[in-house]
Amino acid sequence: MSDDAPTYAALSDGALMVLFANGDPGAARVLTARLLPRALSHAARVLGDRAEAEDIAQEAMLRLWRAAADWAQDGPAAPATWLYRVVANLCTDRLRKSGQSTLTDEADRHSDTRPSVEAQMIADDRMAALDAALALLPERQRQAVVLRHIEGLSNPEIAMILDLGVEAVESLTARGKRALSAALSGKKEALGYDS
Amino acid sequence: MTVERDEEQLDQLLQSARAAVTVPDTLVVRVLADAAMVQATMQAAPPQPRTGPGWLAEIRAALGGWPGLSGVTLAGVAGLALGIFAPDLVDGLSGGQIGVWTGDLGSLPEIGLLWEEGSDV
Repeated sequence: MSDDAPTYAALSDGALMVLFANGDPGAARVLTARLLPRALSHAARVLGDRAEAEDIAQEAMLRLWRAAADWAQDGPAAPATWLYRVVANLCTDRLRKSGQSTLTDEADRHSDTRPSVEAQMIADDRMAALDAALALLPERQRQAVVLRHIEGLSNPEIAMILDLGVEAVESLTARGKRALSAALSGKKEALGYDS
Repeated sequence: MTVERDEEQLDQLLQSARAAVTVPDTLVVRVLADAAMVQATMQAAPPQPRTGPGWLAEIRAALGGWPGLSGVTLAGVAGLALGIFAPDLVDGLSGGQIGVWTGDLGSLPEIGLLWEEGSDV
């Protein structure tokens, strides 16, 4: 792997997909190193459940491998964007099955007053607090906030992943961030921030 | 000011969340095992481009390949030569049938007439 690393490092994800389809085992290792952390992070923040997030990330990567045979290196979507989209859809399915994606914007507007936020927060764990706050957002808003502010994607990329317009993404991320701020505003001391 | 500070702290929290997820080795092993399985499947049954013979090759094969095709060509050339240079022989071999059909005009126009000056063939 170390001998191959400089060679692979210069290759795009799309080129690695083609190499993978041609039977190169090193391509799988590099793609896994590049893409699996993103898939897992995305799923973990959206689902708020680490074990489920690992299952989703594995399933999404499996679909990526299967798609390699027909992958067009210069196709419209980059493998990372394609993978985020698969993760987003798998998370949506998982949340629907568990009944957690039925939260509406109305529920979101009152999220800062929900007592369950207090119960879900672990005093000295900021990530747990963040996950708890994220869990209160409507599913699409949560996906948009995670992709924009945690995964660092651009609004056009998120629009492609969530199959939305760019303006809709801007609206979702703005409302989502305001809702997060409201949900966390009363917990700053517990999170170790200055009031 | 407080709003800006809240915003900044939230940004910091979101930034730290980006680096917070570590991928367990067990998951990497599972994902790479899936990759190996899919790769093995792809290598076992790679997409095959059309390698079958074209229609010309199929005709050639039906005639017995290149040797057969040579025989058919040779027979055709020999028949043509016989018809041109020995039409009487062909008529004789046909039992005079060609003469009957053509009213003894032969199966071909008299080629010699082409050399006769002023002829109107």
